[in-house]
Amino acid sequence: MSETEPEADAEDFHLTYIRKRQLQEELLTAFGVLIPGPLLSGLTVEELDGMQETFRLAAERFLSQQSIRPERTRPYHLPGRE
Amino acid sequence: MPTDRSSTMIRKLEIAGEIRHVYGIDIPSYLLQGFTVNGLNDMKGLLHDALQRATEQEQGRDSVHPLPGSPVRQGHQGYVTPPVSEHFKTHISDVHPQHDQSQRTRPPVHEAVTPGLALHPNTGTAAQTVREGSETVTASAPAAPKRRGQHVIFGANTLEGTAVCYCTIGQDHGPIGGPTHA
Repeated sequence: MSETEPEADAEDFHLTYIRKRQLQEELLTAFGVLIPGPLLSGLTVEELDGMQETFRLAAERFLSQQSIRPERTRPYHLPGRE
Repeated sequence: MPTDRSSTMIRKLEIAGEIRHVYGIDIPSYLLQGFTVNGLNDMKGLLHDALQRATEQEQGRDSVHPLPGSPVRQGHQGYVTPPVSEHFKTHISDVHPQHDQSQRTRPPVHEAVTPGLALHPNTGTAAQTVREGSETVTASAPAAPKRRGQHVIFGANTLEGTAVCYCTIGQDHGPIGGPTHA
């Protein structure tokens, strides 16, 4: 059996592993979400990318909700209107 | 409508609770507010599939996919010794954002994850608390059944925050560079 194939497989596995760990770290630092290691091995890089995108959208939605609220409550705080 | 909003939030909290309990992922409340119920359900489905795949992978890992850089020693019960120091150098930088970054000085790798860190030889559910000088590390792994020689990646609570660490079931990682005993 050729020795190049297992080496190439090991290289791919290594690169995927490193990329997944990078994404795990990004999810932790950007959103405060820690993906446990055992689960990480079952997630693909694409799925982790998708999760990151989902979290980003959720964070954006949260921020947009926050920016709307002060406008809604504003009349109650205007002087002379209480 | 307030009633609709609160019932939606209750449903989201229920799903987030399931995700935390089953998969060990804690979704911060700010993200939860931005999530839809469908979005959370989708995530739960994805995690379910991932856990299933991870379990299948673990069952056939020892002989098929040793971790990179790990010398596989034939006839050594599938025991793979990881390049401990390299792993820790690469990944110890994960520190939970709840800790004040400005107050923190990142410790050298060998201080953050101390020698002697080990998981329970059979179950992987318990971990030792180890000391090196004033540094204490408590590690825990998810309560899934584990076999000796399996690799576990887990969060360890250090004085500096949560570090993502790597360990092999049944192996005490001795001073960086090699295990003290298996």
